[in-house]
Amino acid sequence: MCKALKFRLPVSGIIQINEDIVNKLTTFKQIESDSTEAGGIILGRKLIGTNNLIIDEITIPFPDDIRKRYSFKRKQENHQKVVETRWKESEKTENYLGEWHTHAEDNPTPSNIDKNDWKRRIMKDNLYLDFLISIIVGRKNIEIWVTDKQKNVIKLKKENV
Amino acid sequence: MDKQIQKCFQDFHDEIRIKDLDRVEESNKILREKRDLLLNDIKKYFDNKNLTLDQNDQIKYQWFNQGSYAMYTGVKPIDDGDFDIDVAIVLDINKDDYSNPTIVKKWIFDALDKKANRTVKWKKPCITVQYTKAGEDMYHVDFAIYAGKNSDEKYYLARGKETSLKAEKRWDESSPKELKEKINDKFLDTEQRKQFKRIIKYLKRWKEEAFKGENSGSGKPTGIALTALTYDHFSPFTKNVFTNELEVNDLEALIYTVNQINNSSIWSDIKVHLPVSPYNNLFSEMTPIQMQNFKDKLTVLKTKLVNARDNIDPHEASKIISSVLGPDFPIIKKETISEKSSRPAITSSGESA
Repeated sequence: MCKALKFRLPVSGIIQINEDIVNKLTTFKQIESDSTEAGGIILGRKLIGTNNLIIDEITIPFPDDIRKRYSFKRKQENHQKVVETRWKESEKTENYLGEWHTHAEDNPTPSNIDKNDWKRRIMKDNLYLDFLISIIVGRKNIEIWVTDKQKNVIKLKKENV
Repeated sequence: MDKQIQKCFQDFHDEIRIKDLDRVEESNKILREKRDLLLNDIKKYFDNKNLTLDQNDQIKYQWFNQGSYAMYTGVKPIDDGDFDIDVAIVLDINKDDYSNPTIVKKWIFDALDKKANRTVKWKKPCITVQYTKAGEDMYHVDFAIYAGKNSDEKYYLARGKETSLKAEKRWDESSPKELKEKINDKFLDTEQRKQFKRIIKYLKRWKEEAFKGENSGSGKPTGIALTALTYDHFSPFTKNVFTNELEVNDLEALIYTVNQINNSSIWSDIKVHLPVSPYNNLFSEMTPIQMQNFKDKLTVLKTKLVNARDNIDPHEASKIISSVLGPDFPIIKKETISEKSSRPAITSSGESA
């Protein structure tokens, strides 16, 4: 049985990936030699009176996204539509938190392309939080990085249970 | 988070508990009236019977509520099922004067039988009055009949049906009053006592959910077995250990109790004795497979409760608890615990590698 994953945020609070999202992300693991990268956006919410974030939704690749063995390109339109719909449906509580994608390695580390994309987003995209959450799904581990407004890319520590 | 989950437990408790018949503000009027009507029929029966008897032979009795209802550990059945109240009738007789206890049980049977819209049945430990609505069992009142004036000053329960074998017609030592007192007086502190009773009720409801749809041979434990297990293994979680201030935490108390029950027995063997005379093992009739089935279910319960405790999202935590305690456990809505934002974020196309 898979449990929710928790990571400690850099300043304060915890970010939790809910169990069914962990399961969903896991199905995209690049286990086979020909499985391609997948990715999408992360949706979640901030608990009132805390700095805790809950990831309880993701989008998965749309047909017009480009999936290769070692790269993933996602188009704006379909994913953006989901952000807007879910924000409305959730009484404005569900919003965009960041990006996820897979890597064909056991313990994932971000490439320069990944980091540059995250830094560009924190500067150019119109975000909900003042930092960007990025998940990389490796073959053995799921890891999270936070990119802040100073363009620092910080790997989060798993919260022991 | 703890407070939000505790609120769910309180609402759950309000939903499942059987309210007190004898308190006006809790009035479960119909049931109380039915019970009192039956007690009146019994009174009339003995009044008539005593007219025919000599002064010295007249039969006196007293009654009191017993069972889960009297211990405030009663839980509503799921799916609008049948629910019961238990009444003790203690007759002022010596068991040695009645070698066949069904003679005594028959007095109560005769007192209650042959009235419209109720059925009176012989059961081994009691006489049952069943009320039905459109053919479905609605509720029943179980009358347990005791001989209360014995040389050893103990109560003896009249067992057996008229049609039972001779060995099944017997007087069994029983301590209904002591049991009630033991359960009700285990904790002097009000908060601790209330939590103790709530944990019993949570486990009783969990049992109904966990064994739902399984056949009668699956080893569903009795309510009294779960009550006795909780009596032995519960420890209160009602105070903050640092500040000593009131901080009621039913989730911790339930996890602790389930853990202690599971750790109290090795392998599949599980035992619990009635906390009063005759101190019988309440799991004695379970087979090893049934006991293992019960322990497996307890382990699932424990795992889920711990997952809920470790979850920082009250919505998810309440959803996990509801999956084991059943749909009467409320799920906290995401929208009520999450911050609203002024607009949806705008995110561009992107590339990863």
